[in-house]
Amino acid sequence: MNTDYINDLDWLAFCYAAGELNDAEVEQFEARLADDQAAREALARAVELTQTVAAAETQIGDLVTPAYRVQHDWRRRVSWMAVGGVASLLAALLWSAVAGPTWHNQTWRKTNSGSRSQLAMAWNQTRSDFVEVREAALWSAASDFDDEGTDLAADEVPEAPSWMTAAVFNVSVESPTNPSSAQGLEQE
Amino acid sequence: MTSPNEVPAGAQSQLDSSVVAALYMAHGEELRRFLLGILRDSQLTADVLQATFVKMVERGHETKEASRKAWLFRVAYHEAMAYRRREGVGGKVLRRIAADTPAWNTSGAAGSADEPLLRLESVQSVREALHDLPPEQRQVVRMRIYDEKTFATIAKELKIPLGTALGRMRAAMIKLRGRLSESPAKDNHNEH
Repeated sequence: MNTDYINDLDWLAFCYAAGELNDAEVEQFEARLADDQAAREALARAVELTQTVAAAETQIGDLVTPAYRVQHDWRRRVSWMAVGGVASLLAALLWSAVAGPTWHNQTWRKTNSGSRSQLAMAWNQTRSDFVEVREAALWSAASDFDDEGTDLAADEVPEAPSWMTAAVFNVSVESPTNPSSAQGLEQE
Repeated sequence: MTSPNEVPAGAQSQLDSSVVAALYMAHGEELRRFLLGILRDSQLTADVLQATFVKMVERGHETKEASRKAWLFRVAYHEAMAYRRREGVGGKVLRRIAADTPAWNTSGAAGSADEPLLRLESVQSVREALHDLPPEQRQVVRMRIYDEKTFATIAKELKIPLGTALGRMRAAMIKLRGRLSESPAKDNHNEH
C-alpha cells in the first residue's frame, strides 16, 4: 500500500467526513467501510485531523493566560492594596490628630469631673462639720456661762474633751473604758 | 477439526472483562472517531460505541485475538448504519465534527490517564504545522474547517477554480497529517 494510495484514501475519507461527496460517492464509500479496514482507519484519521485543526485554531489561546492579563490583574490588585494602605494611614493620622485627643479629653473629663466634684463636696462637708463642732463647743461654753448659773468666771473657758477634738488635732483618743487601748496617747 | 478462524470447542462463553477493557483502551478512541465520521453526533457516537463493546462482551469469545480490532470496527459500522436507518439520521456536514470537538476530550474512550496531555501536544504540533503552511493553503484550511465553508464557496470567494481549492486543501492535509503522525504524543501513544 503506497503513499499515494494512502493519501488518496485519506483525502476520500476527508471529503466523505466533510460532506463534499455527492450521494452516489457517499453510498459507494459507505459500502467500502463495511469490509475495508483501511478505509475505516482513514475515516478515523480524517476526523482526528479535523478536530485537531479546529482545536488548534480556537483553543490554544485559552490554554495560557496572556501575559498582559496577568500583569493587568496584578496591577489592579496592587492598586487596590495601595488605596487601602493610604486610606488606613489617613484614618490613623486623623484619629491621632483630631478625633483621638478630643475623645480622650471628653472621656477624661467625664470620668474625672464626677470624682472631683465629689471630693469638693466631701471637703466642704468636712469643713462644715468642723465648724459646727467648734461652734458647738463654744456654744456650750457660752451657755454654761449665761443660763445655768454656773458661776464661772469670765476668764474660765472650759476645755473641750479630748475625744471631741481628737480628729481635729489629730490626737489619739483615750477611751473611757480602756484608757490604755490607744497608742501614743497623750496623757492628760 | 476447527478452522484457524474458529474458536476451539469448550472455550469460555464470554470474554474476560480485563480483555474487553484492554481492547477499549487500545481501540476505543479510534473507534469513537470512526463512528463520529459516520454519525456526526457525539452523543450518538457514545451510544453506538457502548453498544459495540456490549457485543464484544457477549460474542468476543468467538473471535481470535489477531482479528478483534477489525471485528470491533465491523460491528461498530453495522451498529451505526442500523441506528441511522432506524432513526433516519443522514449524513451531515463537517461542521458537526468540528463543533463536537471537546476541549480536552476523554469521553467515549477510557484512554490513558495522560490522554488530555497527548491531545495538547498534538494540537500544538498541528498549530505549528499550520503556521508553516504556505499562506494560500493555510487560508483554504481555515476557511474549510474553522469557517465551515464548502469548497465551492471558498473557490468563489477566493476567485479560484474549484480544483485549485481542492488541491490546496489536499496538499495541506498531507502536511498536517504527516506532522500529526510525527508528534511526540503519537509516538508515546503508539508505544503502548
